[in-house]
Amino acid sequence: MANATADAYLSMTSRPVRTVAMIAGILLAVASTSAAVLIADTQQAQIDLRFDAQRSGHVMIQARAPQPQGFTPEAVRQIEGLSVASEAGELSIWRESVPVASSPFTSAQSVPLVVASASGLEASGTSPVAGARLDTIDLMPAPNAVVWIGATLARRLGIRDRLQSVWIHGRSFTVAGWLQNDSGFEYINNSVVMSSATGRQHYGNGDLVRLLVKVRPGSASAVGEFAMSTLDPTGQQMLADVTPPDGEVLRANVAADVRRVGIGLGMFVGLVGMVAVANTLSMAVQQRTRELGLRSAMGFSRARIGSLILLESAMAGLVAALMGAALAHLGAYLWSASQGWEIIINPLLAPTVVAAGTFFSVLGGIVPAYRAASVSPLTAMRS
Amino acid sequence: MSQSAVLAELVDVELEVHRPVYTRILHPLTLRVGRSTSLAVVGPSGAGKTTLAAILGALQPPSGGTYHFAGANIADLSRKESARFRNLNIGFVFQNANLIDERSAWRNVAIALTDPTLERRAVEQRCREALADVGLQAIADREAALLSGGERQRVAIARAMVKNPLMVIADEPTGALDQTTGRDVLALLYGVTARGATLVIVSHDPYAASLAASSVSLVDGRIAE
Repeated sequence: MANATADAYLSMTSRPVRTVAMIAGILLAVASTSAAVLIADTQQAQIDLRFDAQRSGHVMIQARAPQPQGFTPEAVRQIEGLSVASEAGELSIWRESVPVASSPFTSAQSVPLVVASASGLEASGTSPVAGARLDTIDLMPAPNAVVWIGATLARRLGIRDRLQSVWIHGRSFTVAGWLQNDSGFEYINNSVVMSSATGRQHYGNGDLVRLLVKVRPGSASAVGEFAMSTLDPTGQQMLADVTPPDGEVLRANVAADVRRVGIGLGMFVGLVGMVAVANTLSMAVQQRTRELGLRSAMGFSRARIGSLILLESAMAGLVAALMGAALAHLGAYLWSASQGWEIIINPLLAPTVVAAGTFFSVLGGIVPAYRAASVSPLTAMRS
Repeated sequence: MSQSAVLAELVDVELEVHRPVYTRILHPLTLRVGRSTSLAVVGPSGAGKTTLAAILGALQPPSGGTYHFAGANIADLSRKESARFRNLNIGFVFQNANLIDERSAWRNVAIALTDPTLERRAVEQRCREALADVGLQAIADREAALLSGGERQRVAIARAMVKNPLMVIADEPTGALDQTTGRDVLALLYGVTARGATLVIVSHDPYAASLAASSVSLVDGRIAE
């Protein structure tokens, strides 16, 4: 193998112009594919950063300091009064995980515990599937032991009737109804939901105390700033705007589309590169008929002559792919730097394109290799 | 000639081709070639000399007859087996030397050493020794394109001899050389018999043929009496 590799290396280096012509196609293919994907990934990250706030239909304000009394109702009403805002209310994740069971004797499921107001649930697009209306959650007198549960959790627990009980941390709560959300807050479908008074009564301070405001798309950033200054003018509550990026599926699809365009472009150029390899190798085989005939006369088998050509195409493909990948990374880095962006590099990209470039180069070498293997040893005598 | 002294034996060997038109290139002929000796194949152009050499060198299978080389039947070998046979037993010297111009002299010689298990250093050593045997040790690293006609043909002889073949087939080895250079090359070629190889030389040149221990004359694909 070492001798064969050295032989192929010699054949390539002794005819540099032909070798450059052979690797150019694959180099271009790998470089364009890699650069397209790198720039697409980087650009998509920038698009995400810049448009997340503008795209969102919600504003979410999170308190990093304990909120024993919750958000001030007056401030919440002021926010709701904005022309670009509609519902605003609490939608807190009180505990990331609590054990919930349908009886004291059945195994518990670990689910989030959500504390919400009716407005908060409405702002999230949550609707009641069965049981009490949403606004009753605000009317629950404290102390109480009433909860709503998500529709998925209800199915998992086998709860079919309203006023049935669930056990949370071994304590019985009456189920007032169950809820469904298909608007980006799907975790509610698998959560236990209770009023602010109930949550604070049984569990004290919450983990992620949040106010959710439904806003007109495009106004999230401005409403977020207004909400933070209104809710906490002194800054004691340490509020943060944690507005979620809206339409995550859409964003992922757009990112995938951009990458697909890059990969498609690269594959097209790759096909051209493969044809270039096949064409150059075919011409090379034609030019090297005498040499190949000589090798055959010297005792090279057909397989060995074919392997020599394939090895040359593999080496050319590997060199071209490595150069192309390096060129693409350098180009994408320079482009990103010139735009002030931080380049996003998928670590699998380089090995994938190098492997693909080598593979396509070998693929392009198959027909020329077959033709080379078919050169008669008599050619050496007749030439 | 005793049986043990025979290296190659052709019995009723013939060659016909059917495309593009039916042609009988060689009529059935019988020929014995001894070990460590020389045989000149002479005759006018188109007589079938090169074809006979090609059959002897297993470059071309005959369409009829039997060919035994060192006791083994060669006529029915597959293409792969023929390649192996040539690799082990035959060295070729062609009229135009057939060197790869971009490679050095020793790397051209190395083409003949097809055994992939040989180490690179061993290959280079053997090639340089073979070039030394033909007086070219000083230009072993020179590109073939830069060699003179005589030097190229001597590299070809080194390439033919580097694997110590049983038979060297030379097809018009001096056809492209001037007389002085041609005679130097012939001296080297005929020297291979002293190293145990059999030389089959195909030539128009009466002088080249005169140096052979025996000769066979072909006319229109038949051995002339």
